[in-house]
This record gives sequence, structure tokens and C-alpha cells, in this order.
Amino acid sequence: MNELVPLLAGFSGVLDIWVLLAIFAGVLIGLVVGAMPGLGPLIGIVLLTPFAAALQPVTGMTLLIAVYVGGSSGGAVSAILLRIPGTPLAAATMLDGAPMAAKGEVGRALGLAVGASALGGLLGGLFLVALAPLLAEAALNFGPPEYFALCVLGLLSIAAVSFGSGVKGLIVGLVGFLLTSVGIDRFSGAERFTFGMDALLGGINLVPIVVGLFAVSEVLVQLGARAQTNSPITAARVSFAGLIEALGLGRTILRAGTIGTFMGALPGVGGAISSFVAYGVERTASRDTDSFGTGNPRGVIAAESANNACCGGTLVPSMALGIPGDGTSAILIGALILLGYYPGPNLFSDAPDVVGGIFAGYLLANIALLALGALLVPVLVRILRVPQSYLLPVVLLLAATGTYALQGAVFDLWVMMGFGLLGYGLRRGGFPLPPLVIGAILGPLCEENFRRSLLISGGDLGIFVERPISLAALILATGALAIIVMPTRWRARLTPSSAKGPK
Amino acid sequence: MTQQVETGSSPRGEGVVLAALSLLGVAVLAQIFFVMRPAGQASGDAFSNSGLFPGLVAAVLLLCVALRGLALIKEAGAQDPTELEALGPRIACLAVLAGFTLALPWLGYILTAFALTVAMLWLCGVRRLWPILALSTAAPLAIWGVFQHILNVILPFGRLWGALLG
Repeated sequence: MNELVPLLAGFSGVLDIWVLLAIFAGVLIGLVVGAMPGLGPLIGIVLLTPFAAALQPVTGMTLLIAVYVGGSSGGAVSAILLRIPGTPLAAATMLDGAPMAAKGEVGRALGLAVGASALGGLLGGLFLVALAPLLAEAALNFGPPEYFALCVLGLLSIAAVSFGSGVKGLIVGLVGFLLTSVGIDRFSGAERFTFGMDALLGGINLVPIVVGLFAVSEVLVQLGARAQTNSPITAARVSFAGLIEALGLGRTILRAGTIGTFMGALPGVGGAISSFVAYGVERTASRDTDSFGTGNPRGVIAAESANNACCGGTLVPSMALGIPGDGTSAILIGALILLGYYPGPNLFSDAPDVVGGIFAGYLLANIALLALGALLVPVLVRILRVPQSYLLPVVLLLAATGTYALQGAVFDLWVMMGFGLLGYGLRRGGFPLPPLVIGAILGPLCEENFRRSLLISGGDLGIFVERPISLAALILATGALAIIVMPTRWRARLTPSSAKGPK
Repeated sequence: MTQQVETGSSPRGEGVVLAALSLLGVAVLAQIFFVMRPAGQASGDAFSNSGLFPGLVAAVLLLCVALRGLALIKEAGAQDPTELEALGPRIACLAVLAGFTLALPWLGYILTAFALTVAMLWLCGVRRLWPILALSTAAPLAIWGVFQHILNVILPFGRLWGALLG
């Protein structure tokens, strides 16, 4: 707990004007991309990563985390107004939010969603501040076998909860692992898979990979598709009474927020599943179960609190262990690495100001969400009416500019295009994309600790089952593997139908 | 009134991806066995064996691809064939991006970004001149301004203009 003091000192760093501006800009951008079906917080973060890389570490990370917070909430706007969740995270919000809108309670539903999102996010933030340093302290005792086992568990868990076939998730994750083998081997200094190209000596940069996979492939998918989002509601504003009502339903927020946080901390579960679980628990706990799905305010609150609290939960293993819980946190880890900091237990002792700044930024982003969400909904309603045909060129231009600007390298643009094509192919083949990014983040950690373990044991694989934590992680990984090879129809019963999707 | 973008999978698409990934796995193993091993880079202990981890990953990848391929063969008969998407706009989009990438160092950011936005708006079905001109001018200038003046990131001016202007 000694680490907590410098961590709290880092909180003062967010009082910098640029950090505060980044929080407001991030939440604003997050709300916009979250509200627009087809974009979502992930693409917002992907597009802004090159911008963030040019900023101070705390400012850059706060910007991206604020996009995550705003985007997780923005999806509720289109879920309530259009019956289309802007992001899969808001699918559960739609169940009661859209019926409320149909009954003429648009403002109340939006107020509940914004209030619950902000409070759920704050709860997740408090858990993050309390739990991440404890986990980091415990992780200081982990050796290479434990880290290797946790990496294997992380990848297999994410593949296991991928939509459709788990084997597909694993395949994509393994491709991510392979990508990290390109470049100079950190142990022996040998060149691997560079084909004599100097540009590949340092490995493949993560930014062109994620920009291509998510942003360019999204443009390719949407090109020519007859996607149009015409809202029947042309004007709406957040009802202040709805906000107050959300604040009054503290027990629901506490229950759903706790579920969201803990499910977010589990690899691969993510906001969509946690919001459905919280919704289900709230429905079961209610005396009036029949009213759920017909416009019950508690349904909106449970779903929104859980999906925003999940952001905080996801950041716990990401920051403390360097092991991402989902695709979005994998990109956040990638951004932190780009800024020169490697997430993991040592980060808490080496750079507590940065960790504290990130935590404080996350908490402030949720407070900003309350204010901006309430004020900006009328603007979001207008933005929802902007045709996609004007949006796609700007997304592509931002993607290309950001990718080039990162290193001033034309080669990165070719990489981005290649991964755009790969992402499009994977999506058409029904493969999930996030495991690839998670594989690309976990790959170096996994290889390094695998080889270190073998060096310690003199090549004996028994080292992985001799230590209790590593053994426990490998037993859990075996369970995840069993789910992966389970027939698809059995797995489908384990996953909420609306939570499935490529993002 | 509202329609979500169709991102559903097709067995044919999955088959193509599986074939490509199996080639990737084979290529990695071939590189390890026929290039790295003769050079002494893929042998010895865990420290000196650079091919150990990627080799293992490639082998597991090939196993998973084979498993999924077998399942796909079983499932293919039971599934309705998914309508193939029109590839024309997607190929054109990639061609536009390739053009942007090739022209960027020569023509500079503003001009290539303008051309990319115009071409993409056209591909997206926008035919009205004023919106095309307005967005194609405003978006590149705004992005250039943010990078150049706020983030201090220099975007290329264009070798051609540099040569012409001496």
C-alpha cells in the first residue's frame, strides 16, 4: 500500500490545463463516435492514438481514456433514439431505453442513461484506484512462468468468449503473436522474418495494424452498404429529472457497477456481456420482472452503469499486469507503450505520477461525462442525421494522416492498407478482430517469459506446473481451451445473443 | 427505415481466410527450417533459438486452421450461401489509398488529402459539387492545422513543389 501515496500525488498532474482540455475533448469525441452506429469508442481511440502519441504521456492517455468513457456512454443515445445501439455495449440499454422513447419519455431515458453511465464509471474508477495497486504489488512476486501462464490464459479466455467459433478467435490471436516475431530477436539479436527490409528491423508498429484492422476495414465494410440512420426523433434533450432519478437509484448503480467492474477485469468479457449480466441480475432482483423490456428505468440504469464501470475494471489487469482485458484496453496499452511506458507492476513504482494521472483522468472523465452528456445530447441528435457518405471519407483521411504522422513513414501507410484488407477479409470470414490486437500486445511478453522460463529450468517444461499461480492459470487456460473446442451450438448458449459482434 | 451495416460472415470468405492463414503458417515454418536453421538462428537453447516461439505458434496456428477447416466443410452444406458483396467500391477505395500513399511524398499532404477526400466522397455516392468541394477543402486543412500547429507534427510539403520552387 506504500505505492498509494505517490500515486495520489500524481492526481495533481491532471489539474494541468492541457489535461483538462484533453478530458473534455476526449469525452466529446467519445460521445460522438459512440453515438454513431458503425464507429464506436474503439475506432475513436484508434484514430486518436497518433494524436495522443504527440502529447505528454498523461495528457495523451487521458485523451484516449476519455474517448473510451464518452464512447461507452454515447452508444446509448442511438440505442434509445434509433433502436440501434451505437456500440455493442449499448445493446442492453436499448431493451428498456427504446420503449421509454416510444412512450414519449426520451428525455427521461437519456437522463437516466447519462447519469447511470457517469456514476457507474466513477464506481469503476474507485475500484480501479483501490485494486490496481494491490494487484500490481502482488504481481511483483510473479516470475517468468507466472507471466507466461497469464498470457496464455489471457489469449485463450479472449478467444473463448469471441463470438461464433472460439477456434476463430484463437487463430486470429495466434496471428497477432506471429506479427510480434517480426524484427530483431531481443534475446539473440537475430533478424526474423524481415526479408531484408530495413523498415521491418524494428518490428511492425502497432498503430498501422490497429488503424488498418479497425478503421480502414470499417470503411471497406460500410462502402456500398445501404446503411443509413434516419432518426424519427429530430430533437431531444436530457431531462434533469431523469438525471436526478438516476442519482436516486443508488442501489441499482452499485449492484450493476460492481458487476461491470469485476466482469471488466476478466479477460475478454467486456462491456457488452457485463451490461447484459447486470441487466439480468437487476431483472431477477426486481419484484416487477414483467416490466423489464417495456421501458423500466432500472433496466436502462443497470445496463449503462455496468458498461461504463467495465471500463475501470478492464484497466485493472491492463495497468497492473500489462495484460489487456479486451481489444480497447489492448490499444490503450499499445498507446502507453508508444508514449514510453510499459504497463505492469513496475510502472506503479517507477512512474506513480503517470499512473496516478491516468487514474485521476479516468475519474474526471466520468464527471465531465455527466456535464457534457447532459448538454450535448441535442447536438448528438443532429449529428446522428449526418449521412454516412460524408463521414467515411473523413474517417479514412484521419486514419491515413494519423498513421503517416506517427513516424513520417510511407511504409506505415502500406502496412495500414494491408491490415485494412486483412481486417475486411477476417470480418467477411466471421473472425473477431480484437484477439489479433491482444495477441500483438501479449506476444512479446509471452515469448520473453516463455524463453526466460526455459532458460531458468534448463529447458524443462515442468517449470510451468511447479508454481501454484502458474499452475492455476494453466488449469483455467485449459478450461478456456475446452470452451474454444466446444461445438458452436453449445457455446452459443453461453453467450447473450445481442452481445455478439465483430467489435 | 433503419438498417445496420451487414457484416455477416460467409463460408467462402472464411475459406479464403483459412487458406491464406495456412499459407502464413507454412511460410513461417519454411523460413525457420530453410533459412534460419541453416544460419544457426533456429537451434540451440531458448536464448539462441529465435525460431522456437514463432515455430510453436505457427504449428498451433496450422492445427487450429485445420480444425476450423474441417468444421467448415461439415457446416458448409447446412448453411445458406451468403450473397457476395460488390467488391468494386472496396477495390476502388484501396486503389485511392494506394494513390494517396504513392503521391504523398511528391505532391504533399494538402493536395493528396484533397484528392483522397474527393475520390472517397464520389465512391460514397456524393455527387453534389458544393458539398464535395467544401468537405474536401475543410477536412484536410483542419487536420493539417491540428497536426502542424497543435501537435507540432510536420506533414510533407511535397518534393515536386520543393524542386519547382528551388
